[in-house]
Amino acid sequence: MKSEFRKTLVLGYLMLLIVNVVEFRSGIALALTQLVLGLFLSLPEVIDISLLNKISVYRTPLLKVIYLLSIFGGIYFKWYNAPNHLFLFFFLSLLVLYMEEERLFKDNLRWIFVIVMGMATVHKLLNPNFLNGDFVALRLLSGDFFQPILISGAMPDINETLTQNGAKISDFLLKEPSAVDGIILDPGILPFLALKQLFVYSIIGMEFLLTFLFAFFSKQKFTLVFLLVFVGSIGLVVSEFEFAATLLFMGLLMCPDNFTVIKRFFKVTFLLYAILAIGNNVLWVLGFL
Amino acid sequence: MGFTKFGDLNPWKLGGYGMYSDYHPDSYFVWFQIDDNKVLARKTKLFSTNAKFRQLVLKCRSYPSTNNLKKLHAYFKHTNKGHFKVEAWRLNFTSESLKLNQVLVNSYEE
Repeated sequence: MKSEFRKTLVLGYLMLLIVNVVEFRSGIALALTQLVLGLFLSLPEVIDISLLNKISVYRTPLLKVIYLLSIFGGIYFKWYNAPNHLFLFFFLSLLVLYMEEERLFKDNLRWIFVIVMGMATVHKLLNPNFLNGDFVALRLLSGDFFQPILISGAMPDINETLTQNGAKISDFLLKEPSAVDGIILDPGILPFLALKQLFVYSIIGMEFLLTFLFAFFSKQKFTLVFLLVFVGSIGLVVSEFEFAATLLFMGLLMCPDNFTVIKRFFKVTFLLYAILAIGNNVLWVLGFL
Repeated sequence: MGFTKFGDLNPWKLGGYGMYSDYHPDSYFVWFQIDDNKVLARKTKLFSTNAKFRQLVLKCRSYPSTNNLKKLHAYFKHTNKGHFKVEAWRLNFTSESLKLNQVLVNSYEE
């Protein structure tokens, strides 16, 4: 593995470690264990910490196993709370700790990506609530989609309608489900029937295309640009910063060295999403969100 | 994927990558039917003070199987000696009529 690739890998991995730790989805004890062991294992590779380098305990196989167990434990004990990107982080950790050869490392990443996108596509194709657009329509009318645009004040009328829908839903949820017939949500001026169909077909289409492209044309510029645009736009539609940061990091590592501009874009968007994810979670933990 | 297609697991969970394909566990609500009253599990005092109870409720939201509802029922029985029923409801939206209601997903009583 080239030293420059290894350095990018470890630095990015450390950022993702912090992203996952500050979410505290594994519980406080396991999250702190992951942080301490993760830093202990990775830091000496990127900065010269003479004490750690001298004792070189971080190279011991046992420590790697304990570290991986702490991530796996977070998933196992809190499966009902563990997000999908924590599973991805676990697979990534296995590769970072045990895969020495760069080509095989990238190949593994590529197939993990194909499986993730393939599963996401199949789930949507098999789910009637997604295919008929009802799930997407609820997300649109409750203001879950396009939050950054709505918060920016760019569309005040739509924002007001969706805020009222949100308040109506909150009120409805406090009532006994069998006692209330239901509520009617207001689409306002939002062309939501057209939007929901557009969303349903474009999401399935884009996820399928990504699966296909990474399975057969993973080293083409178009494939990587498409991934960058798809994942980069996630932040505008839904606030899934952690998942987006993880996919962008995988894209950065899979990007061939000669695609310098694309690589730079991957780096910048990865950093942006990682910072947004950390900031978002820190604010949430501190009770500001 | 098998757990979601043939079982009650929410597709967002367990690394199956079914996120955004169906309602999130946040759209699921666990209620206790005690006599003629319904109590929302997350609004109970036990939910904010008892980690085990909270965990069982969250499990029922992510995987509202009869087995998980039964476990929650058994645990809640320690504090509520009378007859009661555990119910898992989820939001349901029909885009044609713009109507949002809740549907009963599963329930358990002894």
